[in-house]
Amino acid sequence: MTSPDLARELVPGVSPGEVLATFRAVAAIQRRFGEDACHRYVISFARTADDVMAVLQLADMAAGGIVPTVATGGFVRGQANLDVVPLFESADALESCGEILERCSRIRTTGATWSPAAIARK
Amino acid sequence: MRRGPVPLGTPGDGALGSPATSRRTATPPGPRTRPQSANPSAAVCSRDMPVKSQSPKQPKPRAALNGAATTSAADSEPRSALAGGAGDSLAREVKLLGSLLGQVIAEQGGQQLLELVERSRLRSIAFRESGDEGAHQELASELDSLAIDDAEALANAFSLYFQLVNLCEERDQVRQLKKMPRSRPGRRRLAGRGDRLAARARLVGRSDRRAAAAAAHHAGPDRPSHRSPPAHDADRAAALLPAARAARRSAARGRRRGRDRRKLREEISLLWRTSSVRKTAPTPIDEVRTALAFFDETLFRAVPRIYRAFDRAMDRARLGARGNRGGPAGDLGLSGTRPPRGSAFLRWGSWIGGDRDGNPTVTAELTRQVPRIHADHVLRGYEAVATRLLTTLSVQVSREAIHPEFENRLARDAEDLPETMRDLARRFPDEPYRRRLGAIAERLRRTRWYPHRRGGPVAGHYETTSSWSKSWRAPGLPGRRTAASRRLRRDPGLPLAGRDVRLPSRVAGDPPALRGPRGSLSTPCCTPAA
Repeated sequence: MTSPDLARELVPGVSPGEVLATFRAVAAIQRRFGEDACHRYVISFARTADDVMAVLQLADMAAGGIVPTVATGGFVRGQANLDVVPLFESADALESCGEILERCSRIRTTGATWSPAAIARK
Repeated sequence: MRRGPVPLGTPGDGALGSPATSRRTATPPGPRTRPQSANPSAAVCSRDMPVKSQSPKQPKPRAALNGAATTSAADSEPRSALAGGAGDSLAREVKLLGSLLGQVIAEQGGQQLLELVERSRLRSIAFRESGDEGAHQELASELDSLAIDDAEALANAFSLYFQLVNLCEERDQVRQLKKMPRSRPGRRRLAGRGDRLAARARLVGRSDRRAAAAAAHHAGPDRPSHRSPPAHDADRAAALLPAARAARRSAARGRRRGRDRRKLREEISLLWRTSSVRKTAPTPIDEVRTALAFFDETLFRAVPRIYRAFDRAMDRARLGARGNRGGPAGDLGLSGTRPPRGSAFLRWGSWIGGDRDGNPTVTAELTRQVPRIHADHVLRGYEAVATRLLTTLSVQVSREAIHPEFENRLARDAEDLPETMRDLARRFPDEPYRRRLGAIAERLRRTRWYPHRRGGPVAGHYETTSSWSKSWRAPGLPGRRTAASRRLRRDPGLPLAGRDVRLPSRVAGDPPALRGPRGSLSTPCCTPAA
């Protein structure tokens, strides 16, 4: 992976490096204050199960050494335990949310935590 | 400011400080108002009701409170609970605050401004109540000719007035809720929650740690976190209303009533002098700090009361008829003499500082800072509790009577905090509780410093949840007060609230953008099942 990829803005003000830095910030918070301090990752305008999976993949990337510390603003790698919470905020997503959740429930995780209960709580 | 069929305001008895007003409460227009049919004050000022343009009994003139300009404004202040015939609590409170506001306007903005406000109000009333087109024309004409400063002051006056009226209505809603019988669904929901939790805990034979309620502060321009300072200050004024009401009802009226009303005038003066419009956009850190004020009201004031009520309900569930013959849950005198029966079941959450959706100023660094700010805040609260107990817990205990475990902790304090403990030993040689609480306060101070590694020594700080909990639970510490304070929050290291991070799917849901040219994400952590 090259640094320019991580610096490119996905939306104004947000680069992939910044997104990964957020995961590492969450890991830092959990190390200092415990998991309760920050453990929910909310995806607004979620549309598919891939959105959930993408977050888990990003969390895994942030936890590993594949992304250098310098690319994440000095945040060192760390594993964050996350409850990923998709927010269904469009009519299409709401209509198909049952199917999406069904797919989400079949996601097999090996690194970051995927908690179907988080959806139920939402 | 709105014109046309919707009035600027409706009559209030003594409202805005003029004695020549009708005896009605106000109907605030604009977004802060509630539907007229839904609140008592609206009923009071329904346009179908006859209007009296002048009170039949004029209060006697009396000395101005703050100079000649406030004379007429002060005249309208109700002197007793039923002054002016205001028969219900809401009307009384609106009348009181309206008259105090009138005094403040006269004092701060001058008699001319007060007269302008009153003129505008009475003309809008005349137009609304009787369709007086002449009054409407005069009102529109005067508003059109106002200088910009006067127009701003006029808008501020009505804005603050309606803010105070809304505040009175909120208090009235609480009063109405309290009057509801327990059988009513709304009341039952409130009152029965503790009992149901207690019953459930009894069923499982222990306090139910899974029973948790969560509240979250959201971030966004329409969210409470963006409440401006004036709104918060209005809450402070609301807190003073019960005192003012109690003073009005008390037998010893004169001095207490004067003191309470002076406090209210101070609050309203502050509101008047506080800008209602921010000239700069609040930063996320500003939002975080603003939200702390709400946590102060809830976490440090309401939550201990909720837990104590829960504790009483647990006593009742456990002891049943033996406790109080099946009557309503009361304080059986057991709380404080034993550990709390329930765990801390309230959880607090916040999106402030973590909600990045549409807000690029929320960064990873900010997200990391917010828990520190929260932790610092709650630790200061605990420190204040420990310090207060230090000053009041003056129990003398002989060395032989000290619990061995408690003595061990004192010895550990002496090791970790030698200078502090030397000083405490000199000040309180026969009061070990004071020494221990002083040590706890110092440890909390150092826990607060610890994340920053500056401000003083950090040795002896609390490192974990258990070290904090054990410190409060140490045998020998009197339970009644420490138990309540311990349950403010279960962990000093934890921030005040749990944090949610929120990103839009178009950002978080785009891992391919992170892949290198050859797809360096070769071993994804998760794969969808086939």
